[in-house]
Amino acid sequence: MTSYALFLGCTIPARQPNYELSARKALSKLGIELVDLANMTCCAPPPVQSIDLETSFAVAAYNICLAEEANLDLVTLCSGCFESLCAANVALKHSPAFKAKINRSLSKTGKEFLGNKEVKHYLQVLRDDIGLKRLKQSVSEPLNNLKVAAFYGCHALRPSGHLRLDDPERPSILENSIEALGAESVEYKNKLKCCGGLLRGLSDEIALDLAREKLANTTKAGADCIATLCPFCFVALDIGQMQVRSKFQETYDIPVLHYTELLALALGVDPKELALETHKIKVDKVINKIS
Amino acid sequence: MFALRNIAFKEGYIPDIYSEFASAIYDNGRIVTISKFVEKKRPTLGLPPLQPTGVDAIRKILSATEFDKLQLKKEETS
Repeated sequence: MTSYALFLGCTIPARQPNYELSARKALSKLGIELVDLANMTCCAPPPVQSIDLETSFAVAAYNICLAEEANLDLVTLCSGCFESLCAANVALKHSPAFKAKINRSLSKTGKEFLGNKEVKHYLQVLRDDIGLKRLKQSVSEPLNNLKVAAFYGCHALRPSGHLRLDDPERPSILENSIEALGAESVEYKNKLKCCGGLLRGLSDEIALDLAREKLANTTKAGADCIATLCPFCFVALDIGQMQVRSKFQETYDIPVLHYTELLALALGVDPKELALETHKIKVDKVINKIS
Repeated sequence: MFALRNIAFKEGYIPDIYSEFASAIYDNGRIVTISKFVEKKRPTLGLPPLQPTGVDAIRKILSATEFDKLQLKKEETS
């Protein structure tokens, strides 16, 4: 059993129990223990970086300190949290001067960033710790005949120099992880383009145009569903379909699932245990196809 | 790019929603507030109780980096 400190972030516990449940159940089945640490906070994500990068890195470093004290590496589910925490971790490890500056702020909380732990995206845990070969062997309910459109979003891949999840121009980790479950990863136009998730509330019209394009392209490619990594991408493409229907009179009705939900299903978790009713676009079509 | 954005913020140019994010972090330690209803529902879904949030710690950090003063400046210029 390998243990990680789970960084849950804000949006997932507030709004997406389907993501948290599927991740906890799937990773547990794969022998990964997720430890919930007290006193974690918001990761201070990209919008906070835009306001004040030093503050964002200090808050991220504080959360990494909690994992250091527990002697655990951190694993994230949300791509925004991954970007904030991983970028801060790498930047501080590589700049003694910046690390010293951040540690002066952290001293007010009694913490000191040491830089002796890793921040990992859960896909890295699957690929690098468990291994896709072992993952494939663990699948009890293969997702045969299911065509899945992999969607990375923005913050899992960039800034690539810090995150190093995969090649930001030609990534394959999500597609390979989908195919390890027995499903088919389908290609579609402008796969790496933003879904507009973080523009919601800022520029709703542009956000909806981007989501609409993503829905049109994945549907045209014949995908049965879209696999996401990020709670904001999930909202943009799931709730976004209702808004696209209302504004443009276009119905896509393509289920959007977090990759962890597909993983849990393939590992034999009962769909009734996954809070799938949380989805605005029903996932019955997916469940029926793989049953 | 972040350096330019940070300067813009110091000059008082900030989208309202970013300002709301900043206030939420200071007030609750989280960018999205978790309601009591959601917390109560967790065990019925099979989720463990949420651990306490480090609100005091985050306020100390925001004070040390003078983020709280930046936020105040935004409110004065709006």
